[in-house]
Amino acid sequence: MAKKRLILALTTSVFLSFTLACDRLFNLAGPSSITNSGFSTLPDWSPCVVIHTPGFNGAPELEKQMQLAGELKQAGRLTWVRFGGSFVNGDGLDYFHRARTMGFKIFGIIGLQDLEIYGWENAFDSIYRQYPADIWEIAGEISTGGGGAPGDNPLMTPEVFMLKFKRLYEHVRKNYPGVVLTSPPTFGSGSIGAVELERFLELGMLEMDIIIAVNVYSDHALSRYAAVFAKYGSQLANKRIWVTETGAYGPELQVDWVENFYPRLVNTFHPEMICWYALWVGDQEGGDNPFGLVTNINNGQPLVKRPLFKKLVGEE
Amino acid sequence: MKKIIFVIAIFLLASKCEAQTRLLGKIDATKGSVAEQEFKWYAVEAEVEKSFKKNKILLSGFAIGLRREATQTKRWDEGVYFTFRTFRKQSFFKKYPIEVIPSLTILWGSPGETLNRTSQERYGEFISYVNVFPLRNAEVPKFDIENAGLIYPELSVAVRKEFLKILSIEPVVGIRVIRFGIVEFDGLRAHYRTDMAVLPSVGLKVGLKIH
Repeated sequence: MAKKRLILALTTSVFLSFTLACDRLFNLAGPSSITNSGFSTLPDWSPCVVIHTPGFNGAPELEKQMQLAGELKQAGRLTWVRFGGSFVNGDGLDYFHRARTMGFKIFGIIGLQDLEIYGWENAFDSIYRQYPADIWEIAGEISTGGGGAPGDNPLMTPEVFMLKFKRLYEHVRKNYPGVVLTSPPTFGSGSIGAVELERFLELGMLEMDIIIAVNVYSDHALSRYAAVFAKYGSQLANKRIWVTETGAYGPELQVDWVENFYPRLVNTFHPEMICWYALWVGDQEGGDNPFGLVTNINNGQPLVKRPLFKKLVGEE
Repeated sequence: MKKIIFVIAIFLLASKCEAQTRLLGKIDATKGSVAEQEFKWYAVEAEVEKSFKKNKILLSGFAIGLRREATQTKRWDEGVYFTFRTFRKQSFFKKYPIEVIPSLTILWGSPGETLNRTSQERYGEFISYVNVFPLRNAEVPKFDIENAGLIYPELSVAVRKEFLKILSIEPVVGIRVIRFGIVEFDGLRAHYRTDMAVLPSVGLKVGLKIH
């Protein structure tokens, strides 16, 4: 009986020791080998952040956000700003001009709403004339309405979208040959985004000279995208890929997200850029600002820089 | 997929004859490189093994099991495989008997992104990189994406030592044979190719004879 117990104990301890040893030795995420010249300890950080564009010159939203963007730039942590929207009516234009004077590269978004209201080619012409940007995203998360309120961003199927997008693509190629367009970023949670991306590829996106854009907010979405990218591996080989949005919901999760999820994004997509969502998403309770790098921009409270922001600018 | 189920069914029927049943738990580590991209990962596996009373021409039995590679997550669509193993047992040494067990295992499941690797020095346009990913070749139910799964073989040899007639312990060495897609971008153009990778693995199994 004693011998039996001894063997059982030995077997169990060998099993547990091996498991623990494996846990220490191996990192399942298999970090990519990104190196970065920044001085913080976040080598996988990618110098792109989404900035929403409420207010005008002089308003706290613009002034404080662009000041914070400047701090990130100063620290070598921000090259690209992806602005939340650009519109036929000129909303948010001050952000674009300010970003240009600060030396940022600009990623602009033309929403589906303006495209549908004014006509795709007209809307592009109007917005392109007004806003300075280096890359133009045409709509985004079209199957889900971008998570916004109904009507904020009309829903559209990939089939309808691609018909209109191809026409716009030809219009831009003919009239603005140097302009870089991106696909509409696909939804970042669940399987919706991957299914939609595959549909876009089937409908002819691979033949277009554009950047392929994806949003990724979850393990689940990433594993589905990995399947699509493997399936179209040879055709996507020559494509530029951007992860236009990713981020963690909760200030305490943000540093870990960059350290552990960014390498997995790189492993799967070999992206040209990964954009953090977002610098700030409003101060209201229960909103999306747990994604934000800072809080208290326009509520009169003292500004709070969250741990990831502090780490990026070397304050922590 | 239907073929796999058919083969398993045949073996299950064959096992109606006198057989020995054993529950096995396994942990293993796999390491190797593809296009100079390093891979190392570990997994836990549970198996039910049926041994025939007498060896068939080539086989001594079979086992079916479940394998998890992404043990850090709670998700069941990432690095998860069903396994089907056939083996041949050969006994040695009468005084301190051991069994040498060569096996062929077929793994079928979802690799998730555990087997994806990219090496690139920094972000940006015209930055060279190497991207490696498994070539998926099988359907996975309820995965939304066609052909999102992976089937691949593993060849292994275990040495089993029994204790107290019901317990067993067996170190295992093996090789996994997985086909990968490789994209090499030199800053201007991308080159795509495929490669068959042979990735060595080592592991340890503990068993409990239940019948």
